[in-house]
Amino acid sequence: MGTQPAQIPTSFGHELRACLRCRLVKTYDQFRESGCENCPFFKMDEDHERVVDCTTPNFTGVISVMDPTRSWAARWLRIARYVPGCYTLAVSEALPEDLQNLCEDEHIPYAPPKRI
Amino acid sequence: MGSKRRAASHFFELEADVDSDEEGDEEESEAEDDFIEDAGVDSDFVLRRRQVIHPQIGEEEEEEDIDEFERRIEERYGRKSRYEEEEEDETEVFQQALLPTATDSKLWMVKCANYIYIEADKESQVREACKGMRHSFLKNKIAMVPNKEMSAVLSVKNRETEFSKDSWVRLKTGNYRGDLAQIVNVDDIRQRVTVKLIPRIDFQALINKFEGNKPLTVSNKFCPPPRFWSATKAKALGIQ
Repeated sequence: MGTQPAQIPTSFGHELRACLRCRLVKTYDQFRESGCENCPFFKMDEDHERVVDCTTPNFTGVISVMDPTRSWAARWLRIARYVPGCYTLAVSEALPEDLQNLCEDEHIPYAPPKRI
Repeated sequence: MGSKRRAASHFFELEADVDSDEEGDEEESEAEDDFIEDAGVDSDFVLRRRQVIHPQIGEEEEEEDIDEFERRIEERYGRKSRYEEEEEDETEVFQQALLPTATDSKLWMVKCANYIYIEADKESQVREACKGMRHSFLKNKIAMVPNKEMSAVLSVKNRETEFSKDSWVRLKTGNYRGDLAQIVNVDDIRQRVTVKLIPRIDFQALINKFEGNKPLTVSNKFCPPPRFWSATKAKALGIQ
């Protein structure tokens, strides 16, 4: 299908963050400079405060997906429709309410992490 | 298989129910399609280490512009899904439907410093992908994950409730080991919490410090009892 892949994290240190909507993992600087490839409507590259609001350093497990449309793991994790890239298995926080509203306005599906 | 299971959970620190939310209810429809299309598609990797991915960047669709990308995103998500009103229970059922089938590619466990898992159809492809990896010992350390354990590999425990303001924790190390404390602040960015607890102040050590004496190395093991701060006592000992 030839989807342009997301940026690959330039480091695996503490500056790594995951998008609260699509779970894409990149460094803080990468989100700040290029935004999130799956969620351009967050405009993180235009408003740097957004990076802090839309992403989190708290996540568990990393998976690199080359061909989301054919990967069982991507399907299982519900990331099959996103661009190839590094994703986390789970984030624990929900997107802030105003940004959830933004998703709703734009008809973008968002599902908060489920509490056990 | 038991040992493999343990190995898997070791890698992810936590093992628990799969909880991969109902994200993108709309995705489900396509996921379902994939499910069928995938049958009969053979070989090739779907998942590799990032170093392997790297050379591909820019190879394809470099000319694709942002507008086009945005248009596609809009096309993807611009429609309301008919699944959007779906009940949670039904979503759980759907998740079960995503469990791997015989036609899906396999997960392979590769032993390195920890374990990494690679999704591929054949072991030879995994070996190919691992070539040049520093810490993998490829001699005989590749194991196929049984179908019914594949979902466990990708499951993590939701840690949201672990630290929240006003909740109680018990410290694990230092002088306050075993003591009860209350969380007064959680800093997600710096990944730190601030706690409130009954202090264990070593008055003698304080006095020694004020008087410029070297700390007593012999009494290093001494752990002062927990006491609320007493200005009177401090004053009596000459600490202001």
